[in-house]
Amino acid sequence: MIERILKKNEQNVAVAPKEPLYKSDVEQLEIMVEYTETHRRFSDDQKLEREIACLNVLFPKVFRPMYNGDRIVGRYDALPIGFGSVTSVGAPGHYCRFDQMAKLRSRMEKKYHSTIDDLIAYWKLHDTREIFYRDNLLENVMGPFVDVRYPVIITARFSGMYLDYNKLLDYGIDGLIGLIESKKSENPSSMIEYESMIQALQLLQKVIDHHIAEVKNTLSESLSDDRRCQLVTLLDALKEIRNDKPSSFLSAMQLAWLYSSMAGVVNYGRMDDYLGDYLVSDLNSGRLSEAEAMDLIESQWRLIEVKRTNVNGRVIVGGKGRRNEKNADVFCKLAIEVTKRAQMVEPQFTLRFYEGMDPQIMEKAMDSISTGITYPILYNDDVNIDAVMKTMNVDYTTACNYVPFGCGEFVLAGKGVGTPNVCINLLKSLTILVHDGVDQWDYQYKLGPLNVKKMSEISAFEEFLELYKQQLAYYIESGGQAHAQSYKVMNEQIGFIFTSILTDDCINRGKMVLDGGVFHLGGTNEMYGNINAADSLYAIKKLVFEDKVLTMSQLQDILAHDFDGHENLRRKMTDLPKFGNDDDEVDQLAVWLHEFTCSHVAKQAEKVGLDSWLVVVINNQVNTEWGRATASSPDGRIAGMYMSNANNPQSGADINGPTAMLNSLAKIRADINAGTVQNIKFSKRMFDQERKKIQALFKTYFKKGGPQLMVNIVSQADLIDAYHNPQNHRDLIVRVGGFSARYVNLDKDVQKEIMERTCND
Amino acid sequence: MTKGLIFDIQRFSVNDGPGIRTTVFFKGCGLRCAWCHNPESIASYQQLSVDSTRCDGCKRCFDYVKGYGIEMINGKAVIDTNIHDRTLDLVHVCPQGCFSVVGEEKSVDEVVSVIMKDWDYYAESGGGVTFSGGEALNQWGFIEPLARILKEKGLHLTLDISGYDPAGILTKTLGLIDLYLLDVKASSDDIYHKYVGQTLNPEGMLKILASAHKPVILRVPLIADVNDDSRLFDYLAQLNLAYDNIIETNLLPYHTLRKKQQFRLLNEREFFTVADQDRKNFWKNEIIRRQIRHVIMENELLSQ
Repeated sequence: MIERILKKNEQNVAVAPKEPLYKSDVEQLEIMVEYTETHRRFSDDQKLEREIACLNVLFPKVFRPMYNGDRIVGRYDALPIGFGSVTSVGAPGHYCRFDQMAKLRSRMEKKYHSTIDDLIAYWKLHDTREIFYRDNLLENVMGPFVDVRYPVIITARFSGMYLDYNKLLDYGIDGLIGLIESKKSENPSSMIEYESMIQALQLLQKVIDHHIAEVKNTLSESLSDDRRCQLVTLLDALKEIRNDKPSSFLSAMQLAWLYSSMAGVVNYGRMDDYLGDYLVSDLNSGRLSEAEAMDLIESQWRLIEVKRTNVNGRVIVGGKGRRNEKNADVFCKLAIEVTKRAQMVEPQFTLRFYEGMDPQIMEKAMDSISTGITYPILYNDDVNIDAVMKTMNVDYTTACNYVPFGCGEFVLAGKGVGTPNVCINLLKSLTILVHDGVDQWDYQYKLGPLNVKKMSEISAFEEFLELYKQQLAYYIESGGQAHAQSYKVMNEQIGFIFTSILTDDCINRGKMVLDGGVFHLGGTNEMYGNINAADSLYAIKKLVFEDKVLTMSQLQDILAHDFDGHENLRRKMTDLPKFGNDDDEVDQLAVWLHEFTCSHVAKQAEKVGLDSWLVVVINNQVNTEWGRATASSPDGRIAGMYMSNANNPQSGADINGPTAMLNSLAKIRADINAGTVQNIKFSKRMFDQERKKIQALFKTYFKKGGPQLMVNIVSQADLIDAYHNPQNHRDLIVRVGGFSARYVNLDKDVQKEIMERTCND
Repeated sequence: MTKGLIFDIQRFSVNDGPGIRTTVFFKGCGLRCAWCHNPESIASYQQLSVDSTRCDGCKRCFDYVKGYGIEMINGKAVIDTNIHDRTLDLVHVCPQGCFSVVGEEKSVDEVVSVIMKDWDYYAESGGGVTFSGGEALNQWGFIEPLARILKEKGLHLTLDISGYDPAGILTKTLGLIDLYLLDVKASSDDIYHKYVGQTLNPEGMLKILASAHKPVILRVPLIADVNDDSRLFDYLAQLNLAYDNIIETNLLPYHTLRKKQQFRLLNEREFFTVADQDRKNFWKNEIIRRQIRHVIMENELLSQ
């Protein structure tokens, strides 16, 4: 046995540190005690009343004062205990971040410790994820998110909700209250639901009042003329949206932002669709110049960035199905300019494009990408809309509202749930199977109750594939049940009232989002290690069954010893053809694996009561983190080494140039899953000098069915230098997988994985 | 069926003609340019290449040749590539993969199948296929049937030639090739003798191509203080005036990039000065002064 040491993983993907909280530790503790006491007063049967009462403890207290230069308001801090939706800001539902509580405890004087301990003890029983984990983990098979020792990890979270901002802005707060009131008679049994919605909107008004007071206060200080003017406009906007629907770009943006903050939503929808009309009206009337509009957008970007969700913060522009395409495109172009100018890691600025789009938009997008900012990320409507119609079984108009959230999972904006609550490591699974169920990482048996033939007894590659299918089917089916269970647990605890108000069809049905309110109750399953698994399958096929260089038992032995004393064989494995070189024999195994997993995952939806359950191959940096606890694999990858990112070739394995790489990628079907991410890296020199040819390269790939592309323009020399001398490269931004980050903030092995990706120069 | 001796097929080639191309590099060249940046292209046979960074000192290669032409120094095998230029067996002897073969024999069908994988990219970008070398003309017997098939599939074909064609093959290519890349390596016989090993007459080639109405891109390697005298620029200006089938002239500043592998060098390889920005500006002025049209250096358009 080899002694393995696992580098500790944080609870979440955390790359850039957040700003310290504004409130002092003592103030935080007071709020958290009050929150906890409030929570304690209610039973689960009173979840909606409880949610409103708890939210009233937090808001508006958790908003920090505006910063000088802010053009819109709404900076809020997530405390270690509170209410949220996603793991990147607070946590889902009523939550306690035990890691942060431990830190708080160590910072605070002893006299506070027993209070903190009481809180921790209470939340050990009531934190949403704790409740979920209590009954849903499977020993050695299914662990909590992100415990990389398991082949399957699960969680209860509510990621990726996109609100129906058009509804918010069309109605305004009073309008929404009126709408909800009017439904009471239609659904008399939903009085509690409707009351909670109205109370939530009243709380939003309270928050607006808080900000009105703050702006008024600031105006009483001595200010520059410019700043005074900005604040007067802001005050008018806040006063307007307190009751009425917005009439200007600023007030519309402000209302949407405050609403998102209170809902705990961290992806901001098709912004050009819901802000375009306001923008154009202001530009036409002379109320705003383009330069002023860009400043406002940049202020919005800053508020998004400061949340440091790392993997969220999506803003979507472009694409089919916007209400007023012409006006939306005006916003779209200015937003690209701002993204290019501001050079921020968030928002994850996303462009949906299609044949027939205003060509200036793609030109501007390429200009922005050429600066190295990695944005916009490109999504191909001509492929993705059809895919969504098929996988989610919805009509064209509905599918036009698909949006990628977080790392790139598709969801229907304003009318769908698609949170990824299950992840499966396909490579770890394969290494477990190769060793007859025993993970060579920690020597635990991880096939559960499966009765699988021994490796020494199989005589054909097809038999191996059959066993692999059995194993994955078991993992997928267990994951499917856990996923459905996560919704049940959350629904017992939480209404997600703010989210429900702006999610179809909650108001009409008088039901909360997870209680039968949402139009499309979907979910996604993140697959990891796909390409290493495919390369490994090829290695087994070739070395064991075709060329008979090895027996399965010898392969087990070599891998169990991390290739020690078998460097030649490792070299042979590494030198075998790999995915990403347009080599059909190996590419087809990746295709097979993708199709099997997608189809088996999709089949579970009906069994567990979801409208869809779909594979996503959208790795963030968990491909590296999970690689750390994945044993040596037949593709020549040594234990602990990173795995390939999403469907991309293992870093550096694509040696036939970008056409070959993209051809390999295009073989993987995009119409059976809910999102994949593809990275391509060019040197600045190449991208600038050969822009036309590179655009032709992308265009061809998209015509071949490529769903998405993330382009990183970076100099290889810079990456190497930044790896060794981080202090000189603080602003270098790279695309990791489903998110972008400042390179020097990444873990060293993540940096290495990115550095070793093929750079087209 | 004849096979071609090919040392590389480069997909997404962006520097050998218009659009996105696949360039097929044929092995074997009659010239010995001292500045050659792919000397592995020169020998017209398969060569052994060595990557000694992989050597772990196992001595199997040493034992295999019984010590002839291989020495063990500091625990690593040092191979005399003059002796083992063609000892291709060593590839299978070394477990570390230190040896590889430069040059692969491929059939027409094999090459066609690689090329056709990127058909969509050629179509979108106005690209195609380039035959380069080495000296591609030397393997015209192989290229001709290949080119015929590719032409039938509607591909744009480019032929990259050094200007050395003692057998007069160029005329046979005219029916199939759409665009020629032609080297202008020097302006005087002295320089040709000293650095290239043969005297060339690119103008003779240009004449043939002009009468066949074939467009040509001139490619001019520029090596500071070797061939960049005023006579060269005069010569370029003169060709430019006389031949309107020259659609573009590419200046290629000398660089020292080369692959790591060791193999037997057939040319007297020398290292020259890499031009600095001042020198490049000087070249640029020489071009502009003479009003030579459509000259490109490192993707910068120097003159319209």
